Amino acid sequence: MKRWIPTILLVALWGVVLFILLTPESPNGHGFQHSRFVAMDQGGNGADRHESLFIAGWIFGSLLIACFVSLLLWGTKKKEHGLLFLVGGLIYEGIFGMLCFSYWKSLTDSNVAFIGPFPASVSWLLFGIWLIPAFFIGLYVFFYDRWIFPIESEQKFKMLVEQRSKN
Amino acid sequence: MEEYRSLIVLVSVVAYMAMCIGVGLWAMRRTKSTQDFFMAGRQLGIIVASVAVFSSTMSGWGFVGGPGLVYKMGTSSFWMVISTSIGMCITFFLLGKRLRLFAELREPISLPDAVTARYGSPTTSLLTAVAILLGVMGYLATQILAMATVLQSILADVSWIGLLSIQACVAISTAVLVFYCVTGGIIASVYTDLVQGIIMVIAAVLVLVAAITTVDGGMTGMSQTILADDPEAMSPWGTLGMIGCLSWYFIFVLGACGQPHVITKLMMTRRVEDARHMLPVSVVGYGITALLWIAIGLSMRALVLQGVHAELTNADDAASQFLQHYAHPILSGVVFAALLAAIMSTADSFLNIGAAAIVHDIPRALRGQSLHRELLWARTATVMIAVVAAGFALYTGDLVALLGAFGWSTFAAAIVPTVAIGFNWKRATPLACNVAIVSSLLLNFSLKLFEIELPHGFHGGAFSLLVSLTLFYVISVLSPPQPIASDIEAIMDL
Repeated sequence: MKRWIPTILLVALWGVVLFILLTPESPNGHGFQHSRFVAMDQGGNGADRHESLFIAGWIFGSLLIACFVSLLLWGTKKKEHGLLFLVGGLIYEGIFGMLCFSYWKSLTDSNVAFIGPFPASVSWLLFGIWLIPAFFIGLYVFFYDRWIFPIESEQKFKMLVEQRSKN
Repeated sequence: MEEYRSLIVLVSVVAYMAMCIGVGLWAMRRTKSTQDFFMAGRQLGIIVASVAVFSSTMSGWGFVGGPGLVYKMGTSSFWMVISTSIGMCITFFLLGKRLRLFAELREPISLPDAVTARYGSPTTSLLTAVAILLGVMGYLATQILAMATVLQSILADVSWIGLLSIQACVAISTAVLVFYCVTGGIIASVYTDLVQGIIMVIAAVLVLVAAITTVDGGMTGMSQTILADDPEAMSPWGTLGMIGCLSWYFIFVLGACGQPHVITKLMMTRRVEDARHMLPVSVVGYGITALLWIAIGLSMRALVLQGVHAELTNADDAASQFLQHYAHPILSGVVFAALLAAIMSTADSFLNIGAAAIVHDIPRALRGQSLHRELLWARTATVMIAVVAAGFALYTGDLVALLGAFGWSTFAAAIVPTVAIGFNWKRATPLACNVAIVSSLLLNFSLKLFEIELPHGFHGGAFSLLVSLTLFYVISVLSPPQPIASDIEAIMDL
């Protein structure tokens, strides 16, 4: 493992998490009881409660995605195909960026744009963030015998098992 | 009509329980050793193992608490649902092959066994087993309580049975669970998981259709209704807000590869390369079952806002109210069976790993050997754990909620560094694992016990995970490298 990658990611994560935790929270910043229904919450004004932390939140989310994709690449045996993971990671980051952008835009627009049956930002979440792992699943399935468990690894493993059973 | 509905639900649930008992009897003949009891003799096929993975992940809480969260908080809990696809990816990339190689080479019968093989440290193995046992007791108690509550409400609707006490319902549901787990061990558990998973998938698809047809305008109608009442509830962050949702994303994605009842199943497959096909099947299966979570939650919130349905006094009633008022009786029957299936498929996995911790992992860590007649003791321990967890569920009140709530976070913060990272990184040391596990237990317990809430809805478990990962990494880098057994080192290179 190249030590600088986890070091940078951890330091960056701590930086943004501490910034978030030390930033004063607006009143009812993470929801309050609905005015009419007792078991329901409301979020209130999105601009008010997110204004001070929106950029930090976007960086936090982007760092998480970078961590996840780095872990996926780390789980492959051959790292020379990292370009594909970089492409997947950039798409992932792009989708998250679109989610944040469309949410922020919806706060100022009088009419909320819809993509399919949901507001655009929720569609980015459900049809983008939820489904983007299909790209990495595809890589796992199609390149399993080249990147994850190639034939030479399989042969070495068989030898190890045989050796151990002899002992 | 109501009596007819109750009868159909009762028949579905009784048929489902009879199936569980039948599978237990069938599996008993295939369980001849502790390897069979805890590891299914490493003979699981792709479909069985994949369904076991996703049905163990989707617990009863997902079927009851999930819709309740959407009703209460809008879209916030979508982050829990969507985290599973990337979470399972990371689990398979890091552990799919690795754990299976460990399983074939060293023949461990539990996760702490594999930890012993990797680190050669009884202390690390003991701490892993203790963390698992603590998480198991909490999780199992909440699952048993949920199972009994569901059974009680089903039986209460049948006029000739009436309201049974919660103790009686705990006894009935636990008896069925224990019967198939004791007789058939993990073999019964995974084969019931297969049926349970199929029931859950069917139920989720049918509920989605029912939800769309119930609310005027379908899914778009639900969105517009919720949006008109509170735009934030229909934003990507729901009422919880951006930071809370992203902290959920962190703990639920990375935490996925620290759930022992799920990752243990990666060691049980017939061939190493089975992981290749298990990943898509598990992700798609979970994704479909999660539709129930989203569909019921959104539709109930919209129906209440539209004034079509009376206000709920408890958000967790969203699923049962929807089924009672808007689902066909046969669908209600299927979904109630699916609900019990979701609970049992998680609970049986916990029973299995809990029994392994008691009869195998802890004795081995303390005295260097496991118990004699291990299979007999494994069956005895399964009964004991279930009885203690049932007692726990009935008589300890808030403690159950406390342990249940911290279960996922405990597993995540204790096991992700030790197993998911440490099994792929030779530089990881036993000392780093021990510190990570102890710190995660202390931090998670303290945050819950003292009811410490972090600002902006930041999840306490996410904070614990970040702390334990950092301690693990820094201590590993700073402490002297530890020798690794040559065969283990060789498979870490593969």
